[in-house]
Order: sequence, then structure tokens, then C-alpha cells
Amino acid sequence: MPGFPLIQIGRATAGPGSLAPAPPTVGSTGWVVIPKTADENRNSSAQAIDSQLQINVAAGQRYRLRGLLFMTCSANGVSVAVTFVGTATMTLFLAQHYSVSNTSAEGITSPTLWTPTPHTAYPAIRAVAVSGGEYVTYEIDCIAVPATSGTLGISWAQSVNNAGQTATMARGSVLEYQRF
Amino acid sequence: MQTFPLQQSRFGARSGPMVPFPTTAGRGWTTIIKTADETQNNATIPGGTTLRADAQLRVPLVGGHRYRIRARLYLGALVNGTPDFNTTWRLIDAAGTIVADNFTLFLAQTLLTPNANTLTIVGPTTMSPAPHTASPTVGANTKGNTSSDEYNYVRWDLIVESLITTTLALCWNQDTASVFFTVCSRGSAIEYIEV
Repeated sequence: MPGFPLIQIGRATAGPGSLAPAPPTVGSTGWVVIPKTADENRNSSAQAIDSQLQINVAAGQRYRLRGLLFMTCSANGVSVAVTFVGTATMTLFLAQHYSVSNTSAEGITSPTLWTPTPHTAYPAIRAVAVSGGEYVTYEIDCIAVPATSGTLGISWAQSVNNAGQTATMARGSVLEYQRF
Repeated sequence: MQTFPLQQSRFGARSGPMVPFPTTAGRGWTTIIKTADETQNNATIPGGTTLRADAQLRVPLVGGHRYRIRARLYLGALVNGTPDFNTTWRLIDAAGTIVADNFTLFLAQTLLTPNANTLTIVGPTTMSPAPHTASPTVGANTKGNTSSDEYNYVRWDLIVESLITTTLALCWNQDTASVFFTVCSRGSAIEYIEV
């Protein structure tokens, strides 16, 4: 019997290396939940890994990840853009993205086009238009088999660079993962 | 608010009033994940378009009990060819052979992203029409679209109740028989919970 409850909720502190809660064991049937406990702001279009929505992965292990992200920006014309990023290289990386804009327009990228053959590269960023003060969602599913150990997480930024404005990943956005 | 003992908390021990379990059975989701790629083709499975049960993605059902089931699948075509594929659900016997439906309720919805960045959603009205007791027939609504070394993403969301204690399996096949393999990727998974 795995030593973890079905669902673990923890509070990760900012910065790589502070990746609470404890990772799941192979064969555990629950998800380890990493919630974003505070809004995070970005003031440029420079992509960077989220301070909390990231995990450590180990070479040769197998992971499933899913996330639901709520994002906004402070002004029209800024918008937001998201992808996966990390330091681990991949043996297999399959990912799917589904977004809903502030006008309820759906955006989607199938695994065929987001993580194309040979299915080992991190995907390209996916932007969603959003007006200032409104919110959009990103729903992400992923299978990852790392070839090397490292980090893996959500990368995001402004879609259109505007240093005087902010893009925000909302508190309550969640990344979940499990090993198999 | 009704209170519950600490040991009933789904999120571990904590003080104060407990939120009631969301299900009558009081359990979380049980997850079954494919740990290895599974392939089939026309050469190894004579008549490769024959629907068959996935080797791992199976749910044990107790007769008269109701279950919420969700599946997140990655299916692709290896190397070459455009065999496409179908996914659906069937009851199976102990040997894994598909047997006749025996449901008192079967409600299903699918979401599919094929090769292109398009989204296909089929609701329960179409996928499991009245009287809502039959598993989905393989056809246009169950078909994914693959070509050389590409993957589709398929979601299933179900509410199912069987008349008898049995096993429900995620079933799939090539839509067009091909010597080239169709694969259900490791990491594809189903989750279920009694409701």
C-alpha cells in the first residue's frame, strides 16, 4: 500500500528546488496536486518556468501531468502565452493543449502538432488573446518519459511584450502529476 | 455542517468540520495507467479492424452499482500508413473476449483532437442515445485520424451501471486494416469512481 493519501495538497514555496509536496510513488493511483498559492506577475514576453507549477523528474521514470491554468493581463494587447519547459531531455513527450479565451473561443493543439515526431521536444508556446482584466484558461495534458533528470513545468509570459503591463498566473491554478 | 472523524478526510487529518465525501462509496478515483505501448495491426491480428479489449485499461463493475469513468488516451499510427482507429467500450469475460451489453445505464461523451488542431466533441445525446443502455457503436463518432507517427488525444467521460458483476474494457481497433501498427501509448489511462 503506498504511503501517500489518494490526493496530496501542499504549498510549494517560490523558486526551483522548493517543489513541495513529496513526489508520488510508482503505482500510486492518486495525483499529487501542486496549487499556485499566490498570483504571479510577468512584465515581459520572455518565457520562464512558473515559480511553483513545476516538478522534478528523474531519468527513466514515467509521468502523467495535467494542469488547469487561469491567466489574465492588465491591458489590452498584452495577452498571455504558455508552453512546457524544463531542463530534462525526453525519451517521450506527448502533450495536448486546450484553451478558452475571454470571448469563449476555443484554442487547441493536438499532440500531432504540439509534440510532433520524434516526440522528444518541448512544445512551442501557445498564445491566447485576452483583454485587460479578463481571464482565460489553459487545460494541459501530458505524458513525459525523461531521458535525463531535471525540472519540468509550465512556462509562460506576456504574448506581446509590454514592460509597463503585467500578465498574471492566478492563485488557484493547478499542476497535477503522477508516476506510472 | 455535519462533522466527520479525522480519518475520513480525503485530504489527510485536519481539525474542524469535514467536508462530506463526494461519493456514496467514499473513495477517491482509482487510476489505471498503461505501463507499456500496445500495438495492433492487420498482420498480427487477422482482420485488424476487429475490435478488441485493451490489455490494461479495464474497469471491474459490480452489478447494480453506478460508476463515473474518465479516460485520457493517446493513440497513434507508427511508421507509416493511415489506418485511423476507433475507441469505444465493451463488456468482456474472464478471457478478455467481448460479450454482449448488459447495462442499465450507459451515458458517454467524447472529446477528440485528431491530426490537425481541430476539436471534435460528441455529447451523450449522440454517443449514448435513448434508452441509454447500449455501448457506443463503432463508427464516425468513435473514429480518430492518424497518419505516420502522429498521435491523437481522446477523452471519454462516462456514467455506467451494469446489471451484472463484470468487467468493462476500453476497446480499440484500426479503422482501416493496415500492415502498419496502430499504438495506444503508455501513459494512456482510465480513472473510475463509484457514485
